[in-house]
Order: sequence, then C-alpha cells, then structure tokens
Amino acid sequence: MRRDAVITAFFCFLLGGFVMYDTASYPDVSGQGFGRGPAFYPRVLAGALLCFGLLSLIRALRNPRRIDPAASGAAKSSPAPEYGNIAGLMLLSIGFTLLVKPIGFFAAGFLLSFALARLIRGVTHTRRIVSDLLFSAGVILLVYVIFELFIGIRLPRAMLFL
Amino acid sequence: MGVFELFTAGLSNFANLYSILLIVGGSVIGIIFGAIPGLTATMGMAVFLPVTFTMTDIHGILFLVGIYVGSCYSGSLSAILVNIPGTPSAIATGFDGYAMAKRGEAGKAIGYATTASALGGVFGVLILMFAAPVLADFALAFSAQEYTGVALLGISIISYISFGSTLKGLIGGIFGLVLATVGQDVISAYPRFTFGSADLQAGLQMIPVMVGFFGVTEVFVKMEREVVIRRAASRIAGVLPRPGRLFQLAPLMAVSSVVGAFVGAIPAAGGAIASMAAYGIQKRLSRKSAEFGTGITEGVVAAEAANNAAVGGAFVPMLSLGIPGDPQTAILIGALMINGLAPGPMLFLTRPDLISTIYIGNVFSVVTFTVVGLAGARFFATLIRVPRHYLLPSILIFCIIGAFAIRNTLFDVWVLIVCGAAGYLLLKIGVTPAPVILGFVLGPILEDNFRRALIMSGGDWTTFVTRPISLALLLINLFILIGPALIAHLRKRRA
Repeated sequence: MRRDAVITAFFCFLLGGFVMYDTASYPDVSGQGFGRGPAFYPRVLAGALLCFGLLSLIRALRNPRRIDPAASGAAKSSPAPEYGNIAGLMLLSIGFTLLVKPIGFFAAGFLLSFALARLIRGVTHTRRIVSDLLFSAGVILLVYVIFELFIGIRLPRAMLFL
Repeated sequence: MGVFELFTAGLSNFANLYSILLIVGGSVIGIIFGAIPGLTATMGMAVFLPVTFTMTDIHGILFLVGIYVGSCYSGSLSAILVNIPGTPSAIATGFDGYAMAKRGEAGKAIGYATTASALGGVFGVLILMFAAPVLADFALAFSAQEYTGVALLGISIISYISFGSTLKGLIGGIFGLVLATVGQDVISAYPRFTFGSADLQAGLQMIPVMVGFFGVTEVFVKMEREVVIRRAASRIAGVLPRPGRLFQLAPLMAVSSVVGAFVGAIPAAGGAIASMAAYGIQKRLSRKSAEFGTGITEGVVAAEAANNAAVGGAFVPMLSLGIPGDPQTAILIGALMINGLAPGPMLFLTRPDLISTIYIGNVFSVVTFTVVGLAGARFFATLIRVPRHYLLPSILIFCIIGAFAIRNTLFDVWVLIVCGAAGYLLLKIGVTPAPVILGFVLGPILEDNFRRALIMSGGDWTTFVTRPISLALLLINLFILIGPALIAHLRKRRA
C-alpha cells in the first residue's frame, strides 16, 4: 500500500512536471479572458496532478506500512505472476507492428497469434504445435472473412498477397 | 414529443430483417462476452465498435446496444456455474447463485437470474423512456458553466466509486483529461504535446485509447496468471422458473429494479454498484435475511433485476446530458460521435428516431437474452472454459484491427499497445482504467465548456458560483470528493 502511494506520487510529479515544462513555451493569446491560450487548461490539470501527488506522498509517509495477515496468506497461496508472459506479450506486440509493413497484416497476425498461444502454454511445451498452428490460421481466416469480405476494411498488404 | 410518440418514432427502423439480425447478433455476442470470465461488456463493445463503421448510425447503435444489454445479463452465467462473475455487475449474483449450483440447482438459478434480468431490463427501459426526456428538457437550460459542473460530476463520481482509493480514481481521471489535451487546442488550434508528429496533430483517437485501456490491458492482466476454472457445477436442469414462485418474487424484483435504475442513472455508477446496492437492501428488508448468501433465489433475483435495470438507467444521463452512465455508455457516446452525432438534449429534438431505436433495441435485446439464456444454459457451461491460449490471442488480434480500422494507420496500433501497457502499469499502482477513459471522453466537453464559460464571463471565475445550477453541481462535486472523508474524520473524533 505504501509503495503504491509513493509510486503514484512520483507518477503525478513526473506527468505534472512534464506538462508544466512543455506548456511553458506555448503562446499567450489575449482576448480569451482568464484562459490566456492553449497552455491554461493543461496547466490547471498539471497543478491538480502535482497537488494530488503531494497528497499521495504525505499519506504514504504518515501511514505506517500495515501487513494484513489475511492478504499476505492469500498472496502466498496464489501462484506468482508470470511477468515473463507480460514481457513476451509486449515484445510480440511490438514485433507484430514492425512486421506488418514488410510481410503484411495476415502473415504478421498469424505469427503473433501462434507465438502468443505458445507463450501462454509455456515455451518448453512442445505438444499441440499443430493445433496452435491450425488455431492461428483459423483466427486469421475469420478476420479475413469478417473484416475484409463482410465489412470491407482493407488490412495492410505487403509484397505478397499476405 | 410525448413519451409514446418518442417510443414509436423509430419503429420503422425495425421493419427489416437486417435490423433484427443486428440486434439479435449483437445480443448473442454480448452474451458470449459477458459469460466468459475475463471478457467484459466494455471489451466486447470496444472490440466490435469498428464493425459498425460501415453501418448507418441507427444500425451501428443497435448492434452495440445488443452487445451491451446481452453482456450485462450473461455475467451471471459464469457467476452461477463457476463462481467467477463474467462481468462486475454479476458479483452479487454469485453469492447465492453458486451456492445453488453446488446443491445441484444450477439450472434453477440460471432460470430465475434470466427472468429477473428480463423484468429488470424492461423496467429500466420504462425509467429511461420517462426520465430521459424530462432531464433533457431540463438540460436545455444548461450553459457552459453547467456542463462544466456535469463533466466534473462524472469524474468525481467515478473517482469515488473506483476500486481502490478516491484519490487514485481522481488521478486516473486527470490522467485521462491530460490525454484528451493532446492535439490541436479546440479554441486557438495551437498544437499541444504533438512533438512534431503529424499523426498526433489530430489528437489521440478515442477507439485505440479505449480499446487499449479496456481490452489490451485485460489481455496483459490475464497473461499474468492462469484463472483456474473449475468444472461447471453439476447438471443443468429445471431452468424454467415456476410461475407461482415468480409471482411471489415480483415485489422483490420491482424494488430491486427501482434501485438498479436509479443507481444506474448516476453518472459513472454502473451495474456493479446497482446490483450490490439492491442485494444489500433486499438482505436488510427480507424475512429470509439470514439466508442470503446460502443459496436462495431471492439473492439471485435481487442482484440480476438491478443490474439489468441499471442499463436503462445508464442511458438517462448519456442521452439527456451526453455524460456516460458507465464505461459502456462511454463507448456508445464514442460511436455517436464517430457518426457525427452529439449526445445531449438536442438529440431528442433532431433525432427522435435514434432515441426510439435505443428504447426498442433494448427491449429486443432483453427478449433475445431471455430466449438464449433459458435455451442455451448447457452450451454456456462449456463455453466459459475456453482456454486462455486461444482466447487471449483472438482478443488481441481483434483489438489491433479495431485500432487500425479507424484511420488505416499503424500509428493507432502503437497507441493501442502503449495504452494497454500503460493501463496495466496503472493497475499495478491501484489506478483502474475506468476513470482514465471517462476523463478522456469527458475531457473535450470539460475543456470546451470551462474555457467558453471564462471567455463569456470575461475571465470572471465567479460565473461558476453565481448561476444556481452550476453552484449546486459544484457543491455536489465537493460533497462527493470531500464529504465521506470529512464524515469519517468527525466520527473518529467523536469516538
């Protein structure tokens, strides 16, 4: 709880500070009442963020860290989060977006779907490769039928049809 | 225009098979999304929003209304069968529903849940039909100052009821407001936070941001750990409820529907709050109070009547004020804006057929989920166990297409991925996506009206407190944000 509050505070300071910094170069525009142009509203929001960040930090410093036995017991019994999966998902998503232009949406989408299915099963899981390949092909076919044929949204192509 | 005239203005939109298929198809998709744990009504609507781009505004809204109403019902199916609510609005349903299922009464629980949802849904539409035009008439007197107050009210309420602290909800809301400032300033057209990018000149598009925070964030969360779904409890039999028992439960359903509709009408409240409130009230009022939670039909019926009545209630602020009643209506507002329509009181005057279509579409969707729910209970028992290695890649692909289809640019896919990752990281520090998205949707409304109010008053800030409705809204905002903490502090001092 306390660590959350500190991180939240820093998030607020970072974002609020960035907004204040970036809007410093925006022009003042007269005739807009107290508004004074494009910087005014973002600065109001940044000010609010900085205040709430400070409030969050004060709360974190004032409240001692409390260990809830029930929560820590529950946390121990539930499986640990698979952060490797999270990192893998991020990398696959970035990889997909980079590959769309060279190899086209359908090929990139097939690879993303297959790689993600394998990632979720576990990288050491060697079974069911064929079913994952068939599943990925099925998803891409469904996407083609629904979005290209039925709705008419043309998805990016590459050099090949895919 | 009278209530009856407004209800029938859009009847002709249903005189063709295509419209019927859209509402039925949307309802079935909604039922599937709501039934599968991990998929939500919001995700379903966000993912299928791009499908509506080639439809007319009427057909697009019909389809999305079907998904919305269907998914609000079907969260109860997995709550009853495996004690994992398919949607947050079904949390209270599981208290008694799963207990009934463990006793071999899963079919009975589903039957009563479906019937209560149907009656609650119809009641919600009745509330919508009578309340929305009245509020819309009232809102015609609103100026920039009042709309500023209403937009702030939406953010205050969602912050207050957000899981986690009010402060984190507010921070999420403000983050959403900041995201909405990216692009050209509404008044001076000066580019803000564009970093020289031509893609950012038009600002962040609503769909990639919404789908990112509601859809891709959930994919990240589901990637973290396997949700072990136990085999669906027992056999599914005896689904059809007994008419005599329904008659006995009618007063309970009526009260729960009233609670659900009124809570649903509070901007940003939603079905989860509505169903919990109704369940809590029935538990206090009922003669079987001690048995709530042990597996009684009263518990299931109270929660389900309320969460579907809340759907009709959520449409009230959306249609009459242009303020989302819950995250799902935020997506509907997005759909209306994409079609060049501005939700608010003027919509009742300029497009009564669209308003009527929403009313009638709600009713059609209620009929659809009643039939599908009662007939397809066994099917859903198998559906809810779709493994995540098939579910998550499919959802991600659909999310990506949804983001891409807006402007046919990969930039929006990047926005989707970044928002998904940001939403996941924010969840880790206790900031949920709902306030962020509501802030993003309300941002343009808030800034536009706030600055216009100041321009009209020549920079005089007292303009927000000299107008009675604006002052009242500001005081309500203050009470929502500070009131509970102040009351708790005073109680502590007295103790």
